[in-house]
Amino acid sequence: MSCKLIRGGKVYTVTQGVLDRADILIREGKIAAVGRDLPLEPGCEKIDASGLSVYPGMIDTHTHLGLDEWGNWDEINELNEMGDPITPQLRAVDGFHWQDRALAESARAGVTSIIVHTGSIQLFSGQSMAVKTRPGTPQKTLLDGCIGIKGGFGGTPKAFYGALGGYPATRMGEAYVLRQALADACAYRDHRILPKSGEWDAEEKMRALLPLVRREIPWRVHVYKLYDILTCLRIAREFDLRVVLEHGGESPMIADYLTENGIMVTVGPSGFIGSVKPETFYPVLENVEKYFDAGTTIGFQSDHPIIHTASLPRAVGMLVRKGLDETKALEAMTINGAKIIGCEDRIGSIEVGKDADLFLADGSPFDPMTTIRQVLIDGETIAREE
Amino acid sequence: MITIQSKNVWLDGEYRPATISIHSDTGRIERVTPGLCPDAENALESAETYVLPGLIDCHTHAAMGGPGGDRIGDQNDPKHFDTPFFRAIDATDPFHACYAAAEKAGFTMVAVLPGSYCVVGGQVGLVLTGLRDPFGRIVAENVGMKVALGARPKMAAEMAGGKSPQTKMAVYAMLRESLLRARRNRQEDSGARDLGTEGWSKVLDKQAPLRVHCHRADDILKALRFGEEMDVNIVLEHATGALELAEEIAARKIPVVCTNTILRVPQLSEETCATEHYAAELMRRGVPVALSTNFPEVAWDAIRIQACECLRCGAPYRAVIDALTLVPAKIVGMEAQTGSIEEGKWADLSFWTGEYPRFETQPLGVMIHGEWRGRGGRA
Repeated sequence: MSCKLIRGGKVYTVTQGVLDRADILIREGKIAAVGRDLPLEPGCEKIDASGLSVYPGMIDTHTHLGLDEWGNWDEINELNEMGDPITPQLRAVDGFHWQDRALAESARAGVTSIIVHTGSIQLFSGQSMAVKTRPGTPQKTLLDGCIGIKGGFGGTPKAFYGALGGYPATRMGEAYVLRQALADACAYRDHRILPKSGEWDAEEKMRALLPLVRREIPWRVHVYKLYDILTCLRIAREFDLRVVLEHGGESPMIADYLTENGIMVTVGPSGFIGSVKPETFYPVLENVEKYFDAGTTIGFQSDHPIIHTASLPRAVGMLVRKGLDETKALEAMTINGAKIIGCEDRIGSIEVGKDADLFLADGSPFDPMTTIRQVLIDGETIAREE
Repeated sequence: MITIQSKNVWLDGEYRPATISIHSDTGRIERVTPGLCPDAENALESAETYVLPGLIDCHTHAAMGGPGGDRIGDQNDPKHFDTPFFRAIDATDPFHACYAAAEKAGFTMVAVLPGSYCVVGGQVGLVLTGLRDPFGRIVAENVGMKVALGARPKMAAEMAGGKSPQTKMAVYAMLRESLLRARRNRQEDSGARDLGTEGWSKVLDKQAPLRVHCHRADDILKALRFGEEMDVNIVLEHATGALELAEEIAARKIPVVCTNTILRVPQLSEETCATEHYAAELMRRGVPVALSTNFPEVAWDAIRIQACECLRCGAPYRAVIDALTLVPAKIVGMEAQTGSIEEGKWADLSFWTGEYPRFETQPLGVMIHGEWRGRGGRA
């Protein structure tokens, strides 16, 4: 029976406050106990955390890690099946490069779970997945199954399909293509009838959209401008879909509505990079407090490889340094990320019964001077630095 | 006259108490006296404020259009790859909001460069991040020639539909030919003005460096050989494989501009030789290092993450501050005007609540040529 005892650290549970000089007992990859002066059983490995802080593993809520390969964007670029704007039957897991070294680099930086998306050029580009950043097989690392149908809306799809001389070339076209696909999916859901288009893969597409139109998984939509967000919300209301806004651009302006309707947002990478696309000019990071004031659930994202997942905590640190409450930032990077994946019962805080995904550090993970000393995923030491 | 007094003025590699007198008409530092003068006024609200030279970023593509940092956009012509007559100053938009953001991050001067998809991209320009006088914003039109080795120049030609250069041999030949043609034109001196030849002149006269984009050690070696064969000064841009040649680079006192390795994910295989710590390691081995955002690749503020990583890896504090002040000033040929707090230099200063780049340290604005900027005015 594998057992570890992390002794005497400053434990940031996220959901139950900060505990000074506390211990965490790990058994079979789960957190078995959290408290002071826990007994060290024989055969249990002791990890000395005195003088260190212990955090739940952090979560990057939007990446293309493993689909855009580290060091090889030219050859390995698995994001968008350009020929068709509606391909919900494609799965990120089928293109994922399990040996991409960015995974280990992210783990070393304390980011233990990531969401991996297909692209934003298509309207429904595929099925998103969530994975832990430990080396190993999919069976060991995959969190749940398909966690959403990903797509883009607004400036991005039309820029590409329009330039190809194709369809859609306008926002009206984008909305129509989406709504027709969703209408077809509802007809399939209710009456098992296939769309009139008669495509060879129509049934696969409909099957893939079933969980979406049954509200089992959300529509995860890359969108920036407020009017595009309103269109997406209108479509979501029409077809009774759950929605997560990816990037979410100008959505701080409607933070109250988002909170009331349980719509979550993944914030980034605008502000971590210099925005050049006019669509992304809205100063999100200057307005991120609006989400917190309204009680909106937000996570942060790297959009890896736009910035490296491993750098996300330090990038968010730029916000903390500018005045964002560190506790709120930590919630966003942990328990909110877990909610955005849909597995807040398993990860995102240091609580009894949850997966032992955590890291020890000699300071705040938001401070670029901090060294991450040890990272554990499912109770196993994944990385260690002296 | 503006008088600034602080216990923490960055002078000669240390924070020292000093009184700085600034001539607001000339925008220059008139005098720097050690210690504080209790009888004189202090334009700073607090004498605890840390005063550094204004930060300088010597490698950016700020406000040069294009859909993204690494796409061609306005940074390179998509069909012409030997363009020494192009000037990045003609592509940047000085009124773009990114310059105000740069001021807020403590930058007072920024170099704008053509991109790296062209073998000979064109001339490096110099812009102040702010100033009331819009003409005064443009400091220089030609402080260096941007050229590129490695994979990107080959990719551009391929994208342009099979034009040359498609091989490393062709890239290097195009580079040599461009410089030698300029040298020949100057010797022949037909009297006709050729803007390409004029663009090369400062490099040929060793008044400005060749700014060589390169990554892998073999391309860095090419750059070093080119500098020696052609008798021109070079600066290595990115040079992520530089650790392999650290002794040779240090011995020749060639500066390396280290752009962001923390936030950035390597895109091409030639970029995979860097470690996050290469800037710190180069500093420790005596290579003159400048740190740069390569804006818009990362936000201006993100330079602090890179600077902190250098400190965390044991780089000397002085080298990290020099990497954002004195070294980039030298790279753009302005070390007589800026880059440190000295009599006669421009009053380009940045103000902080503590030691930059520590996490808790907040920016308090900048002064550019004697003008208070950022944070609405006085620090």
